[in-house]
Amino acid sequence: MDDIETIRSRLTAADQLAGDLPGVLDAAWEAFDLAQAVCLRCGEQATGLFAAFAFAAAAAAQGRQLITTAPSLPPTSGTVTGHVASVAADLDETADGLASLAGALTERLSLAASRADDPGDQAACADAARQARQIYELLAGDPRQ
Amino acid sequence: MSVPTFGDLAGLASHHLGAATALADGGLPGEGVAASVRPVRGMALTLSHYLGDIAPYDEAEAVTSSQLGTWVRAVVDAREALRLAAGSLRPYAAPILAETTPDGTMAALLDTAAASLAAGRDLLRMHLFTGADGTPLDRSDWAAVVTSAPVTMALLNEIACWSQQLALLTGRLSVAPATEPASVMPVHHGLASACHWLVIADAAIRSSRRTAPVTLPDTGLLMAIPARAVPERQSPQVPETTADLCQGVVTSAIRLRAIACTVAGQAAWSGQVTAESLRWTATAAAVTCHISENILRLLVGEARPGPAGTETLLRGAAEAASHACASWRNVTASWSQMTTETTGLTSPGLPDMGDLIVRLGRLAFDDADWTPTRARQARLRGPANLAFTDEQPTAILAAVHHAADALARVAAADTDTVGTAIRAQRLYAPTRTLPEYLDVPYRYGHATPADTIALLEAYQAATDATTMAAAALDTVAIGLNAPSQVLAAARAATSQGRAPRAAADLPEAEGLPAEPATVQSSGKDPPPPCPPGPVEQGVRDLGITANPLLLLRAQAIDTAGRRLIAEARRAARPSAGRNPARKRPPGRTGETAAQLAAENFPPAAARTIASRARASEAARARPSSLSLAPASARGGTALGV
Repeated sequence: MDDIETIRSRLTAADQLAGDLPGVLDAAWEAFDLAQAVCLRCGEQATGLFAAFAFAAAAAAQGRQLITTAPSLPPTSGTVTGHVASVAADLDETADGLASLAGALTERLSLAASRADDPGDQAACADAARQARQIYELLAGDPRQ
Repeated sequence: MSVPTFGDLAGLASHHLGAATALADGGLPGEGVAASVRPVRGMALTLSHYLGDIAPYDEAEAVTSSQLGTWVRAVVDAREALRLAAGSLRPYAAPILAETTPDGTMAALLDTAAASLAAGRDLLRMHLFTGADGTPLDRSDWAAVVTSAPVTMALLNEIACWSQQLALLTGRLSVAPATEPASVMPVHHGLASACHWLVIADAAIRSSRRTAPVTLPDTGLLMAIPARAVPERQSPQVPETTADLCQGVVTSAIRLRAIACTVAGQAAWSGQVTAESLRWTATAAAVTCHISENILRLLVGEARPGPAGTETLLRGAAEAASHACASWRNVTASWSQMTTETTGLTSPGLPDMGDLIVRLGRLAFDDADWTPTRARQARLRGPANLAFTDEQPTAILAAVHHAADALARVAAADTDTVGTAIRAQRLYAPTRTLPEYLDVPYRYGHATPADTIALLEAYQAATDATTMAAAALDTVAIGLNAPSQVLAAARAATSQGRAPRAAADLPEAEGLPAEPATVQSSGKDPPPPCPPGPVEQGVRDLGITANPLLLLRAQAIDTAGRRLIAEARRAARPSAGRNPARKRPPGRTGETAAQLAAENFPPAAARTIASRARASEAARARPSSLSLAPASARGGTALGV
């Protein structure tokens, strides 16, 4: 959960620096990477949520690939170390955290798509935002509860 | 609307041919012998065409080629005899008249029989098509069954029976009282000649299969071959009954099998092959296996008093599904750092895979509107809310069985696709994840050989595990008399190799006798059938041999019994577990229920594993041309390389 919060903070911070598209993309790449790792771990533990976590992991992997196609993404990331996902004991809590991160990703990437000058960046951000939206829809809790 | 099967058409032909023969016994009131000649000739020709499909060699080739087995020569002889029978009748076959033949007459009965025989051949042929080099190629997932050795032998048996019936009919017609002008007399000579050749054809076919007796399950499988028809997609609705859900799963599985048959091998050029599609499919396969495992465990608790060992078989199938799920998760993990130059969810099977998951989920979970989202998270169905009727467990098992079988075919197709994509250098890895000291000035590079081999091995493992799960379900389906047991028979038949029509360039087809029984020691004949177990023998002793499904169930019960005895033996002698392999009876290699099932119904999985292992070794040995070289050297890509 700490990892999720850290990434979310980075995403917010990068977005607040107007024009820091590389920063947003870098943070988004990290966020998708983390989301995939956490989803894969959670899927091992949850019978009722196995499908949701599995498809969320696939969407996260695709989102990360899409971000990689953005021309403004820095060629290397100083923070890429490979996430060793730690999963909270309460899977609902983890799912809430990932849904929240995915919601933030959707918002930031949609905004970045509208701000970007390069068509390649626009397409990558818009497509990745759709993947983030999908993760949110898969992992968000039941609004009736 | 149900899809017609070969059995429907063959049954129609046999029924009408039998009725016509019976009519001949009572004389030919009001109609002439001549009116019957044309349909009889047509049937002889059609039967010769059936044999031509099985053994596509001319007479000279059959006589001179040392590579053709004795049985192939016999089939060619029978084909020629049938042609001569048709030739004997040619001068007397009346042209087709515009008006229809009156119902109930011999000519009408024979016309229907002839049309049914021809339609039956068309039904079998629609599963194959001829490649550019003249080689028969698969057009559907049933093609391997149509061309399998056991089904070919069963078809030969049917052709021999029809030839015999026709011989009987023509013999009677040849001595029928001449109620017509004297000019008709030559017709009788022609019919007598046709009878002679039909008897020869029957004898030739029967001699061809002396060394490979036809079993009732083989005949049952032949009769179950459906017309090549892909049903329309049926999107899930809310609500659907359990029966609707099961039928929907079967429909999706049939469609997935058909799609898998058409998409394999397109990767070298197809834009439909994308990493996104393949990753999504692997994810969906893992989810399908996971839900299937849960359903099977539910069925264990729900099992009504049935054949001994049913619970054990169900648990074994659940374990196999669990193993397949883990294998598919490895595939998705292997895709983690790789992509293709094309993107998008483009595979034609994805909507059906989605339908399959939703319906299986609605069978497993206590929510009629279940979807794979957290918002629709639901508990597994339990005894309190299961509310199965007596028929539903077998219908649900059949749905899971169909899903596993379809998944096994998707796995094999995707493995081929990925292999072709690797050879075509269509897989890329982002350089962003490489260590900084490598300093690759491109966003993507070709995937490394280590990664591509790992991916291919993951697919091969998933294919093997999914095939094992389907094989385990074969045994359960037979044991519970589920409607999907034809899948088990099909897998068992296809595992025994193909008849020459699908391998005309081979000296002989695997599993078919190449030499007479006297030279069986050559090793080219199929192994002798295993002696029946006690339950199967008991059924046979009761004289119930005309029901292939009953015999298959008896075999499954014998299998379960052997496993129980093996377990009891191990429990009684723990020390024997130190080296259990040495304690097994000869020829027994399986330990788990899945392995046991694979040993008996069918042996395919073990063969697959062996072949995959060989392929894997070959892949390791092959010098790879893949490298981290910049892709831009070969032109830009959609990924901005």
